[in-house]
Amino acid sequence: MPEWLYDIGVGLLAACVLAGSIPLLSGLWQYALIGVHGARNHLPYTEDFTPHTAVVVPAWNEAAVIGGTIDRLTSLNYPEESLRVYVVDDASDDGTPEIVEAKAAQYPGRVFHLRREDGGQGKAHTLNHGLEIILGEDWADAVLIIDADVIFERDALRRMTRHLADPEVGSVTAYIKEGSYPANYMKRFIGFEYVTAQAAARRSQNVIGAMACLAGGAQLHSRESLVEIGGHVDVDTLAEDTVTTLLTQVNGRRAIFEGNAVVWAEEPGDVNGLWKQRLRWARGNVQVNRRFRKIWFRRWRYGRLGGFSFGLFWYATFLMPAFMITSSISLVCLYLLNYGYSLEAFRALWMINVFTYVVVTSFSLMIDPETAKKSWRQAIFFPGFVSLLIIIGTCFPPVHEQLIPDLASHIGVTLDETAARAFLLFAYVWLSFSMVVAWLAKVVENTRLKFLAPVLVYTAGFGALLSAITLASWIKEARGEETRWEKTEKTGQVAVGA
Amino acid sequence: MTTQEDWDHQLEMGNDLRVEQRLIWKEAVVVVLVLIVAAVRIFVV
Repeated sequence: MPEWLYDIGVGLLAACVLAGSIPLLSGLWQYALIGVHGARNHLPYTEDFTPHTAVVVPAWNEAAVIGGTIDRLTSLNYPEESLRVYVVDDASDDGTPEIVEAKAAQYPGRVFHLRREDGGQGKAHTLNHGLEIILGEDWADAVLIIDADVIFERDALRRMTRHLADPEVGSVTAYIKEGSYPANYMKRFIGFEYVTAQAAARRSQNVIGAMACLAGGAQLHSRESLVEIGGHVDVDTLAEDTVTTLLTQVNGRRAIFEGNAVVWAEEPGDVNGLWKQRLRWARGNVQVNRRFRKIWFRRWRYGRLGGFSFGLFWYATFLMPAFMITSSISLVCLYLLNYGYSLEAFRALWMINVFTYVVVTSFSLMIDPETAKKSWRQAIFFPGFVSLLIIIGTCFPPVHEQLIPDLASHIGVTLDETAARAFLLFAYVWLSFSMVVAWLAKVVENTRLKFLAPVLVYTAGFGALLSAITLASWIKEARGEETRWEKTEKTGQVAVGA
Repeated sequence: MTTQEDWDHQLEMGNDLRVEQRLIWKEAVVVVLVLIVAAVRIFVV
């Protein structure tokens, strides 16, 4: 091979390895902006503002939770005469209609039962049925779209509506927290993930002035904004909340995250439940990415929505599996070409990983101490046990260079150069292989070996599990597989004191 | 339930604003942690 070709090959492969750090650098940038949120947020532009608010609750067989949700909504710290609850019952046959009728009788003029006899078309169609009726009347100044199982803290709505006092704001979302009691390992992982994806990431999106998605379970819209985007939510994608969010901003209004407005929700308790929910979200994101392909990195036309930071945040998440696979393949190729360079590139990549881990874990635990008390173990093991070992080894090389060989020799195993290189190659491919291990957790959960599922999730990491789901969503979208709304099962486990 | 007075206090005196402002100090703590890790990596190991 000519020397110049070799040099170009090594350079390109090293660049591909380091491309794997793009999601990490994006994460560091997001977390750096959170501090800025302390000095630059929308609170100074708010006032105590309580517009007539219509709450739309789409409900399909929600008997386990709907009564509690309505009771909670009617007891919010919000003027009674300014709040109405519309439950859009999507042809439920589990007792939901009877419960809602009873609540409508208990709270006359405040709770309304809207029945769809021909249901089953999904959440977006159900929402549109309610929106058509609500916007057809003059009463509502704002519309709050929620899920049937969410429990608002008493001041949450008021904390949200205050932002609508600024006419530039079109929509506001709250901080959805996992509130199941008892909470198993999966719910605790999700609890911590929501700190990173909402309490942290959405604050930084407030700073850059572009929001990726209003939480589907708590999205408040001004009437004007909702009418501007057509008076209905999108029915062509699986991510109607993301479409609504982006359309609101494309129309020139702001979308705000209010981290002090807390809403509790029940999230999936196993790998398959999470897979089903997140596959829907991820496929929705693929569809949204296609639909809004002209907004990314076009600041001159779409303002902050087309800004570099927002595009970086979006694609760092959306392309995460591609970055992981590219990094792994490039490391192995580099190893075959030049062992020394591969090791340097690997160390550089994982050193960035070390700093990202320290920043994301410590800051997230401090942002939400309540969740930290519950989910600190999941926070530590969020990257997975194996990645954590690599992180420790990168930060403290003697652990790998001396401690592990010493421990091995104590049990009679000698780690020679070949074994060391085999371990190194394993570490190189781990970024990709972790997604396979995470997928195995889903597979074994349906078998007699389901007790292994948590072990595999802790080994691969929750991030790898989410990346595996994203990868699965690309495959399903590429194959053009049928898209259908699959509801996440709720059992009414949410326990909230406030 | 939060009373109207409590709410006005929170709104006007900015309890929520203080929560947000505390993020600056928390970020400073995170920066210190990162510096400690970097120092350990460079000088100790």
